[in-house]
Amino acid sequence: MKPLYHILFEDGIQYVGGNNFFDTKWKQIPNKKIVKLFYRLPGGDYLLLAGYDKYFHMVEAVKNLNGKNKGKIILENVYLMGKKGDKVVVYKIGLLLNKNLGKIEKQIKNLEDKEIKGLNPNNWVG
Amino acid sequence: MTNLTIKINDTDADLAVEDTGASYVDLDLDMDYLIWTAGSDDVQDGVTHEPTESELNEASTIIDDSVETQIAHCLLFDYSATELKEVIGMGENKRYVFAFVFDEDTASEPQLEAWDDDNHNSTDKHVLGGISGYDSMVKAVCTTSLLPGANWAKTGGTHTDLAGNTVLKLNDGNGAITVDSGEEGILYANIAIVIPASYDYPAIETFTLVCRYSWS
Repeated sequence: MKPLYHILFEDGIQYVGGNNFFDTKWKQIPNKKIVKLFYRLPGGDYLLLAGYDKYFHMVEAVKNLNGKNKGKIILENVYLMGKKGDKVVVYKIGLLLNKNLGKIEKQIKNLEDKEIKGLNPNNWVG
Repeated sequence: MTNLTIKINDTDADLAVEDTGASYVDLDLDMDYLIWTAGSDDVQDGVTHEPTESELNEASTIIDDSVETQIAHCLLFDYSATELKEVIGMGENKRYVFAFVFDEDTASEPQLEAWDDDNHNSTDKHVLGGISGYDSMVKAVCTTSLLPGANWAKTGGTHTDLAGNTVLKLNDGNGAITVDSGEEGILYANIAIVIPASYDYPAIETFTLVCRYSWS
């Protein structure tokens, strides 16, 4: 399987992400300036993020306590974010087959937004 | 990725998971399930067979004409032990009842949700308030930091009426959890079901409780 993403740093070095959502290697990204981030979409195209101060990646999963899929980890969405100044651009990418697979929603949020403030501060990179 | 284990307290709801003497059962979410019931001789803590539909019907809660009714018991059917185990502290002024244990950081704040089914896109069932226009009967409160208070599940209490996009943040609204290497991050909640007084639509319903969480 192809890597989830490729990163190009300011010093010309590249970083290759993990090849599945359970092992993204996001938290192993070196702490240095990112110039470009190419993210592979479910359909095979790439989303390019560039020019941000910091970047955030999040795989959103649900675990049912009951029901026919109880116990299984279901991946619903992946979020890719870019922070610049006091704004955060949020790309929400659907992962559910026959529902929202590959659907992209873009939002611009303020840094003071409750959901943004609730993100893990250690997981911003760049 | 971050792994989640859900535990229920089966001994003393004053003891956290890591406390000496605490006893929790890991939910085997493939096989175990929860039963909210008024209870009976066949549907109670310690019963060593899986209750039949008939036994569950006989142990169903009676809707009161004048006061709201909190369902008295939540039982875990522990498949591996073939035994019903009472969820200790359910609906009471207790902190350590349902525990959500994470083995690594989360990327955002974990949350509890309730939906009609696995599609996670509707809340039409009576228990979730969808048809009747009542609030959801599924009451939940985050107890990660504090006791929920007396009568938290009743009208005017500190609960969230869990249904659809009305969710319960499990870290008291403080955001993602960070976990030191080799440690666990543990969040707590209490969950109850309260039927409005004189509710007009008796029913046997299932619904889906969901924990939504994330990792980077």
